[in-house]
Amino acid sequence: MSRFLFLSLPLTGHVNPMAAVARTLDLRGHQVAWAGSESFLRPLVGPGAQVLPIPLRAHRGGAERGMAATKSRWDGYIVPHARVTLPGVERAVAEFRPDVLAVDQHAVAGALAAHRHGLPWASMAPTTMELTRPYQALPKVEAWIHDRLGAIWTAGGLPGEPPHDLRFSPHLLIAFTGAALVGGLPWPDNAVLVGPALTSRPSPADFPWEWLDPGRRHALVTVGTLSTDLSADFYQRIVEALRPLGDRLQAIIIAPDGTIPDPPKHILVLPRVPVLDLMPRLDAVVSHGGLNTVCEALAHAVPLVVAPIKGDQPINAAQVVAAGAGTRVRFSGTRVNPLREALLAVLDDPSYRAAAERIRASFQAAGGAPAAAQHLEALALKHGAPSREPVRSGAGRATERDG
Amino acid sequence: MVGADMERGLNPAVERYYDTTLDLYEELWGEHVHHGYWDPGERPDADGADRHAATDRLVRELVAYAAVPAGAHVLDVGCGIGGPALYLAGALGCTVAGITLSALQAARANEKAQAAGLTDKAEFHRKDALDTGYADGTFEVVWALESLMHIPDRAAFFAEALRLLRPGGTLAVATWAVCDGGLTAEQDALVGQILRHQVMPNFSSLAQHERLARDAGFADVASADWSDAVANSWDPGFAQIRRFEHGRSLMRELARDRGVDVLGFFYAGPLMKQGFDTGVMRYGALRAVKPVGAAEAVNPAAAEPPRDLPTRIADLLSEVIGEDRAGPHGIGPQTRLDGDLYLESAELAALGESLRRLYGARIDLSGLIAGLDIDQIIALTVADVAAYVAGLR
Repeated sequence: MSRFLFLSLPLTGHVNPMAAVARTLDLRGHQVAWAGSESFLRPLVGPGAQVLPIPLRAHRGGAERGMAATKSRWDGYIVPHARVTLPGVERAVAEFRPDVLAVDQHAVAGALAAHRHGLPWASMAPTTMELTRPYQALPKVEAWIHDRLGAIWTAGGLPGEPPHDLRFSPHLLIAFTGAALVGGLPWPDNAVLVGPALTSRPSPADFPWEWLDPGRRHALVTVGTLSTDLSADFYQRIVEALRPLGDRLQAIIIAPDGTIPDPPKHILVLPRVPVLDLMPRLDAVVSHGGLNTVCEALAHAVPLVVAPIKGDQPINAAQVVAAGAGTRVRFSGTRVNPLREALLAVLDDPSYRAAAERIRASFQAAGGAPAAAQHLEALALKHGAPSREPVRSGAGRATERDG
Repeated sequence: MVGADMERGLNPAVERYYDTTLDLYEELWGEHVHHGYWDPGERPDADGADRHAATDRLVRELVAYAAVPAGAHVLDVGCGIGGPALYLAGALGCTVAGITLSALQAARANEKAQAAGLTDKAEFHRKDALDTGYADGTFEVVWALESLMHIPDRAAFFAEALRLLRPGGTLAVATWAVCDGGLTAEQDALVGQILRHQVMPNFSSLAQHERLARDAGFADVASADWSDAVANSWDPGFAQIRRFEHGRSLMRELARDRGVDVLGFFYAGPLMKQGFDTGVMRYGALRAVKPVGAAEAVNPAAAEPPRDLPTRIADLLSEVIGEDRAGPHGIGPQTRLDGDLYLESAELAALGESLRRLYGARIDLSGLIAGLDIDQIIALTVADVAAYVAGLR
């Protein structure tokens, strides 16, 4: 049995795949704890998980898109998060005495704590943001990010310069994507691609399943939580793109109540839907390209139309297109007809679904949360943690991936 | 699939096809051997424009879309029996040289020019579009209305059009096309039948045409999908082909007199209707401009960026991001590439490629941006890029 301490950011999309791994380790008989906000983590990690509390601080909202978003991600989020959580992370390490830390790439305080205590640690990549070195062609931007990592290091009281890029543990990097999607990572050497770690989420009970007409095809439109001005225009265009397709298509749009007035009969607008339950019934997903949505769709062999907005979404969109599993449109300004054509292409051209099928197979082979858990166990063993006790019954249903 | 033998054999086949169907097309469609253009929802069989008015309209739409200037010297590639050329020569005061592979079409077009009193403004010849014998920079407009799909080597067509145009000259194309992306076996079979009956080597997509035009060195390339506007052309009640379908004896007679190829004419209607109904067949217009200084782009020392460079760069950007940004909030000199347009690396690369082609090989947009820090990247404007390009003079 080993002891694993998990550290992420207060972002649902980051915590979900890590929580699937944590649950798997727990079911395999290990001691697992989280360092973070009790109120934020509890609904995601479940009632039985141990949470070593660090108070949640509000962060100011930053720019949503472009290089300005990169700037505010670091100056407004990653750097302050590292600074304010470091004392709490240190307390959690002292109290829980982990054998291994599992640290979100953007939760840099975890990297500092691991170094200070000489602990083996794994970087966890719940987004694709850092995996492809997106700023490789912009040396001054990469240098600017390294300056920030250096400043976090120094402010944390550690001597000299960081010995390596703190987003990448020298021991292990676990990425929740698959080789068939990213085309394999040329770098770093210690990366393992385990595929998505899908988790069942509390789902709204009242989805009108009887509304789905088996004689028509089905598309889900989900573009995440957006500022109203950004989303209103997109919803209007996607509704117009869908409007003439009622004879062959039904669409479900995830959007807050009232954002889409008077949708046509073949469009259902709901603030929340049971996405994973719906996936097996879908023929296409229109998405902003968050890694979770992309992977959930592909894990069910559903092809995508991706309209990326920010962060790693353009990277994910490019990967979906390169893999042949979908089309890409610009989020803002793409006219109604090209939007409709992009959707009809993935619906009508079987090559997109065939490519999505290949990715599903690759995800299944990658192993998901159980594979991630095994890599973490191996890391603990290598660094001399006591070998684990026999597996408790129930380990077989450790993860709730389906498809 | 088009083999070399078929390519060699195609021009004679096109020639034969139009020679043998000339009177059929003229009886059916009048002097315009091409699609008509209707507004959305307009039904030709009810109160909408009849075929003749709609084919006239299509010519006017292409003139407007490509901004064909009045009085221009025009090469009409695939002129048919001269309907569009005589409109350009008459209403628009252009001087038109029309070329077609069919000697009979050229002769018929010259007859029509004579009848219209336009022999000084329009002349028609039997020529191959890729071997016209005209000198570089002869024309202000190259016009190709429903002929591109007959030409197997489309890259060569765009290269030849560029050669024949003066700097600043306009390419105006309307063409049959196929939808983007792969086809199902069923769609492939339908397209194969259309190609065979219409004596066409293959279809490319509208996006491929845009790409070919850019690759050839055209600037300001844009295209519009007119499929919905022209699909009525194949309306069975309206296309009047039914009359022939039921005239089996007429068809047998024609096949005996002219060879079996002539029957392709009668199959077009239902196949094309099915093609448009299912979205496999597309129809689009394309416009492009031969860059001023294109000849010199090969020799960067001579490249002269135009005075309205920021506007040109803004146009290139609109093309790259595929957005409709015309109007007061469109892309202007102060628009920031990252800060406002969120331009991604692939889009920057495409812009850099266009700039290099237009204004010289020394232009290295990626290199420029690689030297910037994060705040400079956010602040970079269209005017900054224009200044950089101008500064390389």
